[in-house]
Amino acid sequence: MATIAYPIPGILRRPTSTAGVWGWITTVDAKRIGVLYGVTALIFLISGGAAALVMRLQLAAPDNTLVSAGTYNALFTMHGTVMVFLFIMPINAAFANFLLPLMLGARDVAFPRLNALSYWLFLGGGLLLHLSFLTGGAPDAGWFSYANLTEKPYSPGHGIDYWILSLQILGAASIMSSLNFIVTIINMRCKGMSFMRMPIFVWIVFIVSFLLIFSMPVIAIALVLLTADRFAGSHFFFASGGGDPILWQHLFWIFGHPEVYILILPPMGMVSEIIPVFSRKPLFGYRAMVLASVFIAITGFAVWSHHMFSVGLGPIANTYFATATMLVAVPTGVKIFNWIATVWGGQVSLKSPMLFALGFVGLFTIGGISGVMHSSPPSDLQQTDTYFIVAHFHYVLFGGGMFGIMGGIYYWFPKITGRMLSDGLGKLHFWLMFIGFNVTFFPMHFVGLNGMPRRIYTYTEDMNFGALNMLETVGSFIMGASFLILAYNMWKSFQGGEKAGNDPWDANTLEWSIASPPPEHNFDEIPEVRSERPLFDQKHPELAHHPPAAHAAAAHHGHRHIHLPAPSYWPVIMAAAVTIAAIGLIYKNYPVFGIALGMVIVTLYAWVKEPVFAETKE
Amino acid sequence: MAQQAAQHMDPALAEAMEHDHTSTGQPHRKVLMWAFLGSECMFFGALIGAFLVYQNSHAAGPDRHEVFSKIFLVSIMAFVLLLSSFTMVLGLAAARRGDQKMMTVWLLVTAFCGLFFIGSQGYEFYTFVNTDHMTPRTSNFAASFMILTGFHGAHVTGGIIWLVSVVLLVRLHPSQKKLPITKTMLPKFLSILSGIPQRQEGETLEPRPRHRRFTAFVRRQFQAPAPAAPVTSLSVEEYKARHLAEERILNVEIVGLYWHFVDIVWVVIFTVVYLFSAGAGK
Repeated sequence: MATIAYPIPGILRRPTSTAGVWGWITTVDAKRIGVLYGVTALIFLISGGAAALVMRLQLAAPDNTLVSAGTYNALFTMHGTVMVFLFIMPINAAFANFLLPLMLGARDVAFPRLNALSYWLFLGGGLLLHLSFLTGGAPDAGWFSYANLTEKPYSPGHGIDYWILSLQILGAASIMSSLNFIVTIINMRCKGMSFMRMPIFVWIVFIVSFLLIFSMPVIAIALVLLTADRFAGSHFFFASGGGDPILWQHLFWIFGHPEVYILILPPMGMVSEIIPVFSRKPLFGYRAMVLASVFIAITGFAVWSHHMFSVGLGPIANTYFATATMLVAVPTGVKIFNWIATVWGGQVSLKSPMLFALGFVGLFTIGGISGVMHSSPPSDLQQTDTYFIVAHFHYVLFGGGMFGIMGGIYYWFPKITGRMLSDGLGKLHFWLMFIGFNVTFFPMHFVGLNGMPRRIYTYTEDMNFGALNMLETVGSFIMGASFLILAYNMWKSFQGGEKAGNDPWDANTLEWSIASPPPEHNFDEIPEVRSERPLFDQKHPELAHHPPAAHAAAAHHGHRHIHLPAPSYWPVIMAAAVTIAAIGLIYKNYPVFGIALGMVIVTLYAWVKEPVFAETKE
Repeated sequence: MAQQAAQHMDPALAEAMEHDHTSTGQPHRKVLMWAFLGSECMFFGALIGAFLVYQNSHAAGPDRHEVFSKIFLVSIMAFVLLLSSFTMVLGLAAARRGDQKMMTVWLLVTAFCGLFFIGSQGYEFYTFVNTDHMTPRTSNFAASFMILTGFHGAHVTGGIIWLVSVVLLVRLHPSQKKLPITKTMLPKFLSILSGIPQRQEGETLEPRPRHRRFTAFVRRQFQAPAPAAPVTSLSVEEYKARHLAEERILNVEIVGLYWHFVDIVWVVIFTVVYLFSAGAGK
């Protein structure tokens, strides 16, 4: 009964070719999707970085007139939105996509097509946000878009509409990919890989995925309410209509604070993979590390109002949120001490991934400490909305996030492409970025405490901010130059870099047990795991607490065809339809909106009826 | 023990089983649904939160005690929606028994209950707009109420489409005999409900009394599925066929999870929005 083949309508047949551009567009392979995420994120990084450099140029001297106040507003809004939603989140997703199945000993993620849809939706949302530039009027209300600024009378153009709908699409993409990761981790661990034997990076992706599925809905609803305000004439956040702008702040930060941990936890995971390998020691306190991450994630939902001390929520609320915020320092401290203890007494080799990882630990600690400073409301009231805060979160998100991500790139690039990056150029990149970063952001502590506010497009000469601002601008261009070195390093590697081999770093996790780049089916034989360092066990059976299984049951050696899901074109079609629907909604072009929405529904049925495998000629 | 059994298994069967193996033993799609419903809680949580913030900001429009004093229709709606959770369970039980006909009937009854709910909600909104002069522009109370219940209504609508789709995807599958429901299921169902025996050609009626036929029918709806043979005794083809059948049952189970969730959310909305307002302030 099962083998009766029913004819499948032509349109529902899956494409078979994985070659060329079309192969990339229709791919459902998590590794390829990971590469797509990574490349797209790096391109968006150029956009966000360029906005930052223009801002730094504008602020280099007092009373500068390079850009107008309005353009400056658009620049910092786009810089924040792009870096958060279009660089750090997707590049974290890139690593998660590429590494998750490999680290778990699986062939793919649980829902390959959903994974592809997440990517294409992310691309659609990112392009939609940038489209606002071309249509004259980028969003300009800051990345957290406080009400009333976002209401129709104050932002009559389409900029905010673009921002709302692209965030809505990006949020949906994030929820989908997180659900996918959660199911993959719960259900696709290879034999022997209990939760407490998962690589720490996998643990962190697991935790971050839960953060995403619980926090993204809140911003989605806030955006729905804002959309109603702008399109249907309600006034949820519109003070003069009886609305409460503070509600927007609450909803935004109930999402926004977990979001901060969504950004920083994956780089922490990468660093936790890198440091043990280059210290030749196991990760110190693996369990403590896992529990600390879980604790940080849970607390992430309980501290949002520390972004709102200046609202004046009253002493009880302020006391609670201050205390809860200080509590976050405890698990974070546990992590920092664990990293230090891992390096302590190890045979440290300062290759470029390790340099970035150590840079992460140092700079993130500075950012963490200034964070504890403004967890206290009296101190925060002095610092809020000044450059001190800008310094703080750039130490966390750039000094932490970006350094961790760069470490990840240097560490896993050989696995992804099969070729090494030059270690010399990597070190040059690190030092330039490290110096440029500190020259840019350390002085911001001082100008901030001296009273320079955030989000101003210029300042007068008698304020005495000029010298330090000039220094910051110089630093930011040193940082910018360091990324050119990365680009050159990658280009050189593609031109014929050293072949990486399976395991160039003598690492511990399963992705290094197979060829670089990995074959499409990942593992010829699904591995069996006995500890949280499975590859170490394989390489050093004499040291393992539990010697690896002798693979007696591996009867299938030799040629075996491994069925993988075939490519599909429905993810890209659906994402395109969703993006077009969003554009239709922005311009209130309801026929376009309706047709695109109809297309989404048609695609949904095609998606369901599509067979899992391509028809093979037998 | 399972490993010992695995060693004596047909290698092809072992491979097929490995292909469908999951770490928890639960199918991917079911785990996905549970995680998604967790996410949904936050969607509704944010909306209910916004309603609670604005429930007393009725501006110049009617206040909630006034609007929700007419609680009769919405109580019927709640009752029908909760009833549909019951019929959903019967639909899943029928699917598990392999009784595709009753599965179709119960899923369609569930969808019909949903349709009644949506229709009543449409009528409710119509009266709010026309009798109570309450639109999203009137007040934040009205807007937050309408977005919350509208969002829930959209979920019910999605559920109805999903239920009908599950039925259609099963009935329109090429393996199905092409007999329209009106000729097969509907007369039988009507005959059971009305107690008028259904005559078939060349068949003499059972002399069983009417109430016995009815109780037998009811009992059948709650029957547990027949115990399945152990997997290791199956051939590869039998295993794949069984797996395919399980996948079809899973389609019903997953839409069921979603449907129950939407019903439970309504219990919360009904209590927090309607009952609290109708009760308090009098």
